[in-house]
Amino acid sequence: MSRSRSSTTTQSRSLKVTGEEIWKNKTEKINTELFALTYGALVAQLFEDYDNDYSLINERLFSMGYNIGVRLIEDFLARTALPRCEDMVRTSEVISKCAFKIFLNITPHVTNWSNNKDSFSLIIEDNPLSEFVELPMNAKKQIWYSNVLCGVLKGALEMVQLDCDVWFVADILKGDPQTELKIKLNKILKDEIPIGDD
Amino acid sequence: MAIESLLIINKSGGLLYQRNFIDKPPQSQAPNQPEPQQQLNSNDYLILASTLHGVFAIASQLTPKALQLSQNDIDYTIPYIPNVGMPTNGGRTGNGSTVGGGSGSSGPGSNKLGSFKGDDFFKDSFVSWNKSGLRQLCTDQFTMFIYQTMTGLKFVAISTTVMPQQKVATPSGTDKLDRYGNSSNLAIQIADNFLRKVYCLYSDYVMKDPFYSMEMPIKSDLFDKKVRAMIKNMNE
Amino acid sequence: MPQYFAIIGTRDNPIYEAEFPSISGKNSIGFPRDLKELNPFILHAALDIIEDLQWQMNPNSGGVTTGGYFGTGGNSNSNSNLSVNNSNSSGVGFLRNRSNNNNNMENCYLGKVDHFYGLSITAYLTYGGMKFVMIHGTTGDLGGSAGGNISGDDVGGNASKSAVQIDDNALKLFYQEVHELYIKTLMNPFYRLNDPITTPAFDKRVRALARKHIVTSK
Repeated sequence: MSRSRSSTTTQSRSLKVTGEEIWKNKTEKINTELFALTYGALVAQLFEDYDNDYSLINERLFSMGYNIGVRLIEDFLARTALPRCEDMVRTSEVISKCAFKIFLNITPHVTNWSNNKDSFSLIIEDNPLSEFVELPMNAKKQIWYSNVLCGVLKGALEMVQLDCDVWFVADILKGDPQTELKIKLNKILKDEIPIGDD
Repeated sequence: MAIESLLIINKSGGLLYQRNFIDKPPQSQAPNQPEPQQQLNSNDYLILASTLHGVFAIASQLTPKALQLSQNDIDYTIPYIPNVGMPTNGGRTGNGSTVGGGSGSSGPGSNKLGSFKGDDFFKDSFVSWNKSGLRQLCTDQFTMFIYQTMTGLKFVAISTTVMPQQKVATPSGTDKLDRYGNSSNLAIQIADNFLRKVYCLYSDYVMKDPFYSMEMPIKSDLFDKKVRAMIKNMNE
Repeated sequence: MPQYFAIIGTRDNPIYEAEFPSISGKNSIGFPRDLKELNPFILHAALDIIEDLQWQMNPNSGGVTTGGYFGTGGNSNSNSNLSVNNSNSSGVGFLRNRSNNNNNMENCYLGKVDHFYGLSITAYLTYGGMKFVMIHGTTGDLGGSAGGNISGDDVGGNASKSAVQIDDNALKLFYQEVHELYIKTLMNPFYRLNDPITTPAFDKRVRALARKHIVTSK
């Protein structure tokens, strides 16, 4: 008697349901304003520490995010136990419907697919990190306020053997119409795939 | 299922964590016992971990050709088995799995699972990430279970329960029918449930410790305490 | 009646200021030119009184039922509320009564605190010690002696003879909404306490609120 792989597992339940259920019932939560204020204090302090060197600040935010991402992926996998994604389309769905939902309670839209389906954009409405923020005039052109998100995504994807580039394309804080970040797959790190995981 | 020891091995084969949970008296031996039971020292465990890592890889290549060809039919789902490693009140038992009695923790409301809300880490069945690697090693003294995550981390549990001898399969019966019913499969499922919970504890108490360096041995006291509590529940 | 509104910080530094001219017919009438220069001085002179009220040990009214009060010693409003206030033995000044109210912003409004030759000055204190102060002018000449009663206004704003009529309820609402705008500005991580507020968005919103709440008649 053979069963198809997906019949009774969480893979068959829609990702959206999984994400929402875990968000509602299975994670401890924190006050949004406290979170936004903490992150804001962090960025404001970086401004002071690095003496308004904006490219360095962007880089620092990215590397902080990277360190968070390599750890956060374990939490995500322990919580959801989702199987390996077959392609970037599936990966994008998991990221937007499950991952962002569980950790930030937002569901960004996935758009702007490239021709060979290896890069896409995430459009974030209502970014919880930048709730009350107004960038100072001199920083406006150069700082990506939520750059930590790019780092998180890059770190997390790297731990599941997807080497990706993640970067911001537009940000409401800068005056653009929407907040958009782009994810592009460079290559699958085949030799790092754990043995036994086909 | 009584867990005797737990090892955590990182993706390069290095040992991150090793604990024994059942005290074996060091040198006491019955007169006719063939060999003294000696404790392994930490260096031995390091070697053991990297050997296991290698054996795990080799085992994935050892699958007979016939089985490899029929691999599409295999269901890697692990059903959720309640009460594995969780404290229970009174004498409730789960699906025939061994259940820890009230471990001394207070009533139902205070079950603290770190960042996991509710009374258990997860409640759904899940797909195993370990498709062709080593999952269970049965000997006449112990049974070893291995759970590998998508990031290459391996959780190894050594249990004192010994699997009953497998009956020789009759040529006419198909192997697949027996596969889901026998006790070895159930043991693997219980072990996977348990090890996934240890993975949840790892993701909380080790990953979220800002002073923990990646891929280094785990020195977290909190993690140790939580793992011991869970093992205690498993071992009754 | 034109109004001159300013936010003063904890170090007596100005954070924001704006003049709201009154609209009568097609003209918007601001303060007379010679008076305009005096406005900041008048406002800052009132700061002493406001600070006095801020740090008083025995506030004489709860600030809820009466529109405003002032007086450093005992005065007309003391009798009915004195017993209530004596029961709260901790805290300082107006902050003492804060926890008893459902709407926490009720005690922040100090009402009319001062006058200057017919101009009335009202004030509002935030919890962090920021002072929102406003001068209410008349369109006509200032006339009237300055020797008017130094007494608090009752509800409904029955002004003393020489001062401008003040609609407490509308003003209270105005101050409360500016307070909320100020809190939102504070939440911006790049805004430091006691920094001047220069964003045009804030200015626009405050002017809109002024138009909404301060119905300037005549």
